[in-house]
Amino acid sequence: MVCQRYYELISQRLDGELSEDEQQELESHLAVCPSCRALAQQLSGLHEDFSDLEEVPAPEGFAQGVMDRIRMEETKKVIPLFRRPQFKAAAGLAACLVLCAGLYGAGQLDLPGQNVTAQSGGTAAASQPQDALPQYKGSEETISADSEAEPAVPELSGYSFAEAEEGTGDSTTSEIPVPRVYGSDSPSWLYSEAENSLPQQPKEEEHADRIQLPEDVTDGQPVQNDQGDELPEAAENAPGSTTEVTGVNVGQENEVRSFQNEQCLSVTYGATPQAPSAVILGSVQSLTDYLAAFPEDDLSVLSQAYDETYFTSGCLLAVLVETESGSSSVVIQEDGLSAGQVVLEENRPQAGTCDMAAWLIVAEVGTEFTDGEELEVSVVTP
Amino acid sequence: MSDQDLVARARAGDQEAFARLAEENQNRVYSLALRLVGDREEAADLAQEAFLKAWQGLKSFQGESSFATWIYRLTTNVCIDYLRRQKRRQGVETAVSLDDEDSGWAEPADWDQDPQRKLEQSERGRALARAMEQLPDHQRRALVLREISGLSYQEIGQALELDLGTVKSRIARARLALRKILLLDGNFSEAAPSNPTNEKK
Repeated sequence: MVCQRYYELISQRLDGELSEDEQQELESHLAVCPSCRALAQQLSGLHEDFSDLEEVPAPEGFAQGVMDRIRMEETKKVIPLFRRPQFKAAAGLAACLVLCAGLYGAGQLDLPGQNVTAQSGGTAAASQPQDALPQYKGSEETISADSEAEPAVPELSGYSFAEAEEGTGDSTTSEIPVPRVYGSDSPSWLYSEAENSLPQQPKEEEHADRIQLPEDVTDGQPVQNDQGDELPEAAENAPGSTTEVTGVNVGQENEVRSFQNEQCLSVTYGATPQAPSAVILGSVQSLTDYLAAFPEDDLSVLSQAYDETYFTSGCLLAVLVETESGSSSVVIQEDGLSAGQVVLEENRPQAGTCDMAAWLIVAEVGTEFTDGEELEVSVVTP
Repeated sequence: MSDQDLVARARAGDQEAFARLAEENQNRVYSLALRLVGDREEAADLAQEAFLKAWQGLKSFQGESSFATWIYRLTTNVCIDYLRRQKRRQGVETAVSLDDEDSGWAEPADWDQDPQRKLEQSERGRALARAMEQLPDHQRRALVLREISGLSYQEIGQALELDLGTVKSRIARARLALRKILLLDGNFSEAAPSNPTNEKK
């Protein structure tokens, strides 16, 4: 049938997907073909009817199911930690660290640095109502006394704390403060989530954990560690666990984080006083604002690629650097991204030009980063 | 309370407000998922997943669009991901798509017999919904992405991993097939050529 070709064009016209040539071709055909005209009208009516398309009612209890899933997501990173073998392993490891620290402290009775730390943590706790765990208060006194037998005490109380909580985890989910021991920067293997996520994958849960931390976790008390993370109430509850937390946090500073789809875009040199810099963009707004600093450059490839939907499950890392040569290539070093730091690798050709150049390197990262977070940049030349 | 207020509250952590949003949008979101994946249980699961993503992503939702539009978009993406996963599992798209391209056009016939528009909007919407159910999955999917999700041909091509030509013909075929179903059911009166609202098109 000679008209068949026009059926497709009629359909395309409804969607505004006709080229000018096609448009003209169709118009001339419709002018002479009443049956295609009629068809065009019918399909147009059909197209309009989609705005009245009847909805299929969601199954009974659908919205309730949504809320249940949300609550499950919210709590699953809080309770089940205790039941995980990894947690017990970590608790054991922490206990060992405490023991070592304790032994070290015991060996230096003249300068009991560890004990002082523990005691100040305990004092902070004492000023807060902690009626649930009086036994820890007791051991706090023990630890502040300079007995030689004492190094074992923080270890025992620290460990038994974890075990004791395990039994009550179910009923008092929201009140249990302990998981925050590991903060949002914990190694990802600590979060053995149900989805079997691989370590180093960007994890939304971790992010959620961070943003939902109640403001009053620390109750305004100066219980922050050197990374600025909120110290867990466990540190306040269990004497000696200050050491434990520090011990766990030690390895995190170098925790490698993953990134993907790295792009290196050339930007106008000289308009980049902020180089070198690296910042996390966590929303369309942040991206737009960031790109506004490059009025000379067409970076629409980024604004087109990353929309609201992308930012629901990921962030962008934007690194701005300048190089002495436009022939250089700059990439993020493999394993070069960690919490708070990004290492770039500049490959300078032996006979490179001496024009200065500026580069915007953008890579997809997970939501363990926060919008607006700034990272330290260092550039190495192998 | 407007959706905007509810969104603001939900963003501040108010689960009640989000529950309201979920209730208000559940049917449209579920319908969209169902029409895309064609399975009630999967659709409910995917639609809930979309709401969960919305909850988790509220922080990045700037309110440039309405919540309804945004949750539509999320749902579409969740379903597309699902369809892609399913496609990987089943291997390359099989005879279905060949059928589509080789089966020839639905005959546009009988348009002279269309009686004048007499059904109310809701009835037309219902008839269209019934007709949609009878469309082959691959046609319905492409048409839903176009008509309900509002994706461009190019986006549909990316979503369903089809070239542009296939997208064009699939959507056209879906429309002709729908029209045929509605004609057979005697439900196509609403598109009568004599209708003045259509005349100007």
